[in-house]
Amino acid sequence: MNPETPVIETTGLTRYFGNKKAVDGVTMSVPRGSVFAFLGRNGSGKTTTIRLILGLIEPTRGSSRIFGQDSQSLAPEIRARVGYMSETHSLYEWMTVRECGAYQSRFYPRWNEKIFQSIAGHFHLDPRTKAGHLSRGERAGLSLAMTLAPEPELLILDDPALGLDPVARRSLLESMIYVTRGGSRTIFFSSHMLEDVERVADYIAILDRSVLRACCSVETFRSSVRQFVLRYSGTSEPAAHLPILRGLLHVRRARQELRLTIASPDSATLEKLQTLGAASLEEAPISFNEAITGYLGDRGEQGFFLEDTAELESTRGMV
Amino acid sequence: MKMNGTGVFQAIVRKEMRENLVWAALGLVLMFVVLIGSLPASDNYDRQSAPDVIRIFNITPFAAVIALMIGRAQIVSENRGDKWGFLVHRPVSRSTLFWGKAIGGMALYLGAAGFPTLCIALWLAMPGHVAAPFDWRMTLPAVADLICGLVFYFAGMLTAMRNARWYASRTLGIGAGIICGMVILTQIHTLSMSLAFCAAGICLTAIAARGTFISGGEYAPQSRISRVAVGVSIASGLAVVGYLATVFVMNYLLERPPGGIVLSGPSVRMRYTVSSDGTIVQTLFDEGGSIQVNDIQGNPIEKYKDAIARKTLESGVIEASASIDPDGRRGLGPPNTDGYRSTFDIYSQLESKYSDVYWYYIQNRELIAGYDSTSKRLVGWLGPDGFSAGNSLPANRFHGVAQSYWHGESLIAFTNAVYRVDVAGRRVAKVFTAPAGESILGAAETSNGGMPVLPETPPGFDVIATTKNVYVQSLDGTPQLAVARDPKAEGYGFVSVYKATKAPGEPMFVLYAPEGGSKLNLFAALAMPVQVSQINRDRTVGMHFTLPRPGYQVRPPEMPLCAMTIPMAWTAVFELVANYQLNSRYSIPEMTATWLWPGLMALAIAAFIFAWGRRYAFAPGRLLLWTALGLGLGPLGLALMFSLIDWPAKEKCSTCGRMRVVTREHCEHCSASFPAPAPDGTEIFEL
Repeated sequence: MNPETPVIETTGLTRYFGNKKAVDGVTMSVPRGSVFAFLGRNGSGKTTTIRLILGLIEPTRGSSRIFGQDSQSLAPEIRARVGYMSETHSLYEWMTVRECGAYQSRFYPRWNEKIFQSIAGHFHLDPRTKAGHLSRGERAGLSLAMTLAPEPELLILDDPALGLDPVARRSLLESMIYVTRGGSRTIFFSSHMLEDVERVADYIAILDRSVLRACCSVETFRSSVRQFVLRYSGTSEPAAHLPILRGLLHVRRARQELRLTIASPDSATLEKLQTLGAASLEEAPISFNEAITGYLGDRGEQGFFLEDTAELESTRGMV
Repeated sequence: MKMNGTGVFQAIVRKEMRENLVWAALGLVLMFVVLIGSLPASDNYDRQSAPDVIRIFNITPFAAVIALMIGRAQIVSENRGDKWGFLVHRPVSRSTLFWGKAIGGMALYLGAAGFPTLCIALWLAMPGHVAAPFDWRMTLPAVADLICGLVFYFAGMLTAMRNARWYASRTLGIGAGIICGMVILTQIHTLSMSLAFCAAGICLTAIAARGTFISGGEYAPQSRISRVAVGVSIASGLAVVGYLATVFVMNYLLERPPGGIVLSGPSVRMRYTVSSDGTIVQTLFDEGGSIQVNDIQGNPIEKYKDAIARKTLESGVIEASASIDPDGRRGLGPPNTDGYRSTFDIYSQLESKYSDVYWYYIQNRELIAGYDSTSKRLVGWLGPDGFSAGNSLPANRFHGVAQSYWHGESLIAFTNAVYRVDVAGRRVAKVFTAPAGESILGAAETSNGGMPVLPETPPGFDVIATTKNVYVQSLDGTPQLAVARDPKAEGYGFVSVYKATKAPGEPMFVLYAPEGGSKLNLFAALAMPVQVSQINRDRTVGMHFTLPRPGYQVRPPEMPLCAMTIPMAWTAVFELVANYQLNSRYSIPEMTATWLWPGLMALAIAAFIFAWGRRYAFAPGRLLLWTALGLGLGPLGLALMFSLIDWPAKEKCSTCGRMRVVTREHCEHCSASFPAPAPDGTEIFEL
């Protein structure tokens, strides 16, 4: 396989459940050797996309390929090169930790018992304990050990840290980094843990309500999502209605301040900002966490129960 | 990369066995409970009939339940969501995973259902446990039923695996098992044929279950052979449901008499008999009994118009019927009367009324064995020379296979002699010896239905049929009549001798009926004429009658609603083939009733399917196939289509504005592709 060929490639991948569109025309590619984070809110279609990529469910339209082979007809040899860990850390509850490893090892000719043992040891797993009796963190550890021991070239992790306490989460991350360091291993993972994503990911893809809106390097994303602060002086206030701004992600409105988060603002957008009558226009630094949160939040200007901080303060005064 | 295929397969099989052991244990307990519950209890013997050991080994329903339970449990636990991913995302083919599951599951099922059966068989084989002979051939029904259970096993897997829009339609695959079970229980007489039929059922459901497993439960992505197998399995279930619904509507909602269900309408049958005044008459009867009495020309007889008068029709007429077919021991009834589900080839139970001993003619010993009903042990043997107590066998044995033996009679016939057995007195007497050049085919005595002999009961007689003649003799062996067999009745099944004892001169008739003729087609036999010879007072053959029979008279279906549920294909096969053999003659109203309503229904359904298929953009071949199925199968075809097909969502085409199915890459109306999701200006793409 050509080293330049993406490890994962999807084209117009679409899946309906009944009349509901769960994944809508996702087209993306995952470069070899990258750590690729797949982000999106709950119900945005991440898990469905992963299942489609792995050929666990049929697409309604479109296609996906792993190592150049169609996901719907993956040969066992290809599956042997792909490790998959689901968000529920599926295990056979009646098997002991030792039996889980032994059973899994029968399927993988490249099974590395040392990796299995070291990860199991890292999570302090007793080989005689049944999987059904493990805590959530221990289950995640065992599941990770079973996923990493075959030394897969591609690791697909569906929100592996879901529901884990910070210690277990750190152990999981450390194990992942320990095992996958070096080499040309590719990791494709979905997560809600933005700090983890920032620490380990090279690339991100973002699903917004079943539609892929971003697929780029972390650096590109950082530089593309920008925040502008418009301050008003004296009696001037922000206009009640903003003009249409291309790429507008999020608006935070205060009495004499507008804070706008915009994706890939072009010169026309910047010019429009100048016309909003603000006394000053500055670009504010934005953290990766904020950028992602802004990107994943509802688009445009959104109200809450109380429109601005002044109203909030007046309410407090009444109390 | 080389996989260790055998090791992987073994690992899957072991995992499946371990994982589902609890279900197998549950099945094992169920089977033991059922088998132990069906053992004959010593205090339940009614002294009329001996314990029916072979019936214990008819285990179809219980094997089916266990098989279904295990098959379903194996799939349900891991066929959805992340469990499914954990199961199938392994470096083995889904086919290997499926067969690993199947081998493990089948082993569990056979252990759960087979082990208790074997234990019970071993227990019954030990003397003193049941007052009847035991032969391992009696366990053959269990063998067939266990194999039949595998059809249910795969049907259970199919049921659990299918993604279906209607939840109830998932269970329809079980119909294949139900039909298989019903056929081997009621239609097939030999073990080999039963096993062959089960093998076909196993292949069908296994292909369907495997295809559905590989496709993750969806129908459309399966291979053509899998889709056909799923379709046939589901159609079987629909046929069962349809039949049960029809029975329910007819029997309960429309209050027709129980058992009066014939899908093409209630039937009226006709037979010939001898009336109390010594004439031959036709009697017409339906499920409720005799409805009309005619003379042999078919004209109603006035005095029998009244139902009470019809009850006296055969008053004083005594009759005995004997087989005249050399192979007539078989094929006369359901498998539990003369097939491998009966003891027919092993032993015949003799009359044991008012006795503490049950008597059996053991075919391979050529002797009669007696078992004590209390100790359940052998008390001795009866041979041609009399009784021999204990295990010591009599010096002489009967010769050959016992010919037809009718329960309640004391005659037992062999090819060379007929014996009367007095089990109460433990005596055997030869009552007839076959003349040179003749072989005995059957013997029977007149019977009064097992009731005590009353003073007014006329003296009975024995009828012995040989390859050449029919003999009638009194119970003490005095010859009364010997007539050559009617050459017109060649291949017929039975000869009956009637004597009208209340008519002047006590006229006798010898009547040959084709039913039971093993060389005759069953349907054809029903329409063949009856041959009757009247016996003169000097015991010579007098007048001869060849009496035609119309076979079934199919009444037009009374309710068009009922007729409309009948598939046209069924109507075509049944009405054209079967009724042609029955020599039925249709009137115009009957033809209309038979063809018009199913035909109209089939056309309406075909038109609907065609329109529906076009709406969902079926490919031309698929559209044609489903339309044809609608035409041939009627409501069944329509239900099958809705049960099988996953109907895709539809949305408005952005180019032509018409509704298009979402599964096609191009609009079926304007061929436009689906547009990429509309950008909102926030897109950041680099890769």
